[in-house]
Amino acid sequence: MKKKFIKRGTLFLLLPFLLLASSLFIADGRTDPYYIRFTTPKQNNMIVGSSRAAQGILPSAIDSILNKGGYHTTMFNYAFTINQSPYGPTYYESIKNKLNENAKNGIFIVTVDPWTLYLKEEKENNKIIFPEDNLSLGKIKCVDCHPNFDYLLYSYSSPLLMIWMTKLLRILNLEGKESLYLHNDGWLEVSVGMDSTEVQKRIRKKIKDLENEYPSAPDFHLSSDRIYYLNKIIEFFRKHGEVFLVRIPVHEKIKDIENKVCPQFDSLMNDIARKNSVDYLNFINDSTIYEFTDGNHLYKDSGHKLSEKIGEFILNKQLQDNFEETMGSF
Amino acid sequence: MLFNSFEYAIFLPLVFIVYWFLLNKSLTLQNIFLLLVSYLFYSFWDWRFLFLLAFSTFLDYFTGLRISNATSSDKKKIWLFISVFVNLGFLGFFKYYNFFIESFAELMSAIGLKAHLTTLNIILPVGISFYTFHGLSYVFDIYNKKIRPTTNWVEYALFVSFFPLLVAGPIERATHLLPQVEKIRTFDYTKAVDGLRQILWGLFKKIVIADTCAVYVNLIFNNSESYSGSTLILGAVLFAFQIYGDFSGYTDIALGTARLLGFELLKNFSYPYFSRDIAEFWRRWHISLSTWFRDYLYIPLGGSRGGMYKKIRNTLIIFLVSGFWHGANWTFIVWGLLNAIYIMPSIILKTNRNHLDIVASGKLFPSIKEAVQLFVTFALTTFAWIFFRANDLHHALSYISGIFSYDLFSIPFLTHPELFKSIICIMLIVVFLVIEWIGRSNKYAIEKIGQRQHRLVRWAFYYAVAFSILLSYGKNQEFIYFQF
Repeated sequence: MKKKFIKRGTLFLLLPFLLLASSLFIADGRTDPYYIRFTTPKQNNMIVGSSRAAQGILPSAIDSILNKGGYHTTMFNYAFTINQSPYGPTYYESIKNKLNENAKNGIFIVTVDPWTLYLKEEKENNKIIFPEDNLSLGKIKCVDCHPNFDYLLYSYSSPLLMIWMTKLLRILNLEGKESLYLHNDGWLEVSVGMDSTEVQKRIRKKIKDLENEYPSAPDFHLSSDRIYYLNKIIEFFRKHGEVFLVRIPVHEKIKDIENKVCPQFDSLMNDIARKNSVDYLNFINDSTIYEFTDGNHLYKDSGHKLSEKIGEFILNKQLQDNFEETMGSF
Repeated sequence: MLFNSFEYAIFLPLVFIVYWFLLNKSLTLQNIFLLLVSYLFYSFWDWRFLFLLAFSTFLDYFTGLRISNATSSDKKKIWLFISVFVNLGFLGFFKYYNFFIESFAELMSAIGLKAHLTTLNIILPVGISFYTFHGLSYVFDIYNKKIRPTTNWVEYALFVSFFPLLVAGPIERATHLLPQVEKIRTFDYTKAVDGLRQILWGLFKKIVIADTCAVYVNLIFNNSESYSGSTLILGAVLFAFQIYGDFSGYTDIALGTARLLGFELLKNFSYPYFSRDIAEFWRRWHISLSTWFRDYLYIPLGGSRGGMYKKIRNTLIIFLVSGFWHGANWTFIVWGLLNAIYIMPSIILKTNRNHLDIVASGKLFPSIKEAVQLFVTFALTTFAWIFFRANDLHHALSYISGIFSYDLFSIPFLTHPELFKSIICIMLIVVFLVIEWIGRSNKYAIEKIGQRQHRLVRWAFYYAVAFSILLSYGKNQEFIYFQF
């Protein structure tokens, strides 16, 4: 009877088990906006920051510019969201995990904005609380496991069966027009309708969200703890290559909010760049030449354009450095 | 380890195989094995508290023997006092210390005095209220000569820490579970299938009903000041199903697991939302706790003997204590008090035992009178749940005042589009209620559903349940009653 029970029980559970188990192996760039970044190998070059960088900087575009100049780099976008990856101990540790410890002559793009350096001051037992500690970036220890069971079982926010459902919808061509696709190089491709009314609606919502989530001037203050970790990350990257501090453009209205809550932001970034001997590429005043999905994130074509600009700057810098090095040796 | 976790999905089959296939020849080995895996199960939460569990177990085992061997009634009383004092001392320290300190400080400041008292950052050991009550029932039963103490430490320890009931009950009695621990258990195919079926239903209640409701309950309760009166009612109703799905789902998994291993645990729920009055509700909700309080508090206090005054007093006491047992917060005490007030008319009018059978037994639908009774009882219960769910008394009162606002009759989904998806949750609840109604005469709702049909039909139904679980299964959500 026991064997009969085991046989029938196994038979019954086989299908659900196979579906669940297989979903762990078929997870891909459509699964969610983070998963792929925890499955790729350790990297030698990196782009870090929030969702602005995740959507707005295309590693492939930078690579192609640098490749044309004779530099064979493979950039990787390890930027997440404002909630997951503001500058702090969690992101710092995760970056350290993701970077190949033997990386040399790497290129590192550190994107900055006032929100990634904001922290609502709260303490527990005299220790500062960084809310991102409890999110997936804080929980995932293995950032280069494929498949990443740890992430899928404990941090993936939807039912596992949804991985299959998403796949099925794509196979049957039933996906909606709005979609997310996380490329293997870490770039998050967001496809949304770019009709001007839709965009305006999203911009209004984004502004409302910013107003609800953050204090307005003069109560808004950059966190010294987050600035400390930004410096730490730059210092860490500098040991492995060249660092570029980048401020990604945003819609005029959001730029105005940022200027209002933190008017000294650019001068502070210039100081940090000078102190760490890195370049600060500030594109914040280029709003008019780019398109935005919601005012805060660059549309993919604009992201491509910006990435090429960054790539060209890096290439020129590399060529100049090489020239100076060569001249110096004469 | 949570019943709804992947760890448990691996743990349970392994335990089952080792228990029935490798150790089936020896009861002692089976019991030792179950004890070890129970401790392992608990250690997944925090291994340090295993020492507290072991100490509490040893204390009751030892005092049980002492009470039994005591030559005089005074000595018996002393050993009983030691057991009760230490057990409740631990419970009081871990669960109620901060509550008493804070309440005392508030009282002092209310009368104009400042009390500089420090609270402690104490971790509440999971299941402490449950295993403390297991142990106490054993000692009380020995004191009252209902049972003789066991001299086998493993058997006693297994009675206290048997993993299906360790962290959230049902609160077992030594008279019921100990004989099962001591007796050779044989595998029964029908019971094992029944156990598996009950686990499936428990997972459905927890993952599909409770966890789905939890999303909207949290949204509404955490932002109650910005929602309309009708939305606040929706929040309270969804919480009523969340807590029922959560706790009775846990119990179903516990009972099913125990049955797989050859044990029969006490029934804890019996379709409480199909009750026609509050007295019936309390005979159907968290039965093992209600009967525990009845046997070890209400009856020793005099029960219903000694006139109406004593009956009312004793009823009030057990409801207040029951509320306080749930947590160190005034909200639970008010919840208990409210239920005591609800039940008083039937106690005074002696109508509290009017409804002993299940509603509309043998009929498809309830009568209009019964339907009204069901609705009123559910409404009263749901109103009381607001106190149970609220963060504090102020939150509960502002939530209630928010209900009775000018927008009480607005449609929640239209006024708050973010709640539109809660329609799916409501549809799931309707399906759930229909299944529960059909199966209301059984131990659990799907016990006999499809039994007369072909196996394919039955399996199709089970698969539908299983797939709805898989489609709802996201991050593991803790069970609400773990905190009690």
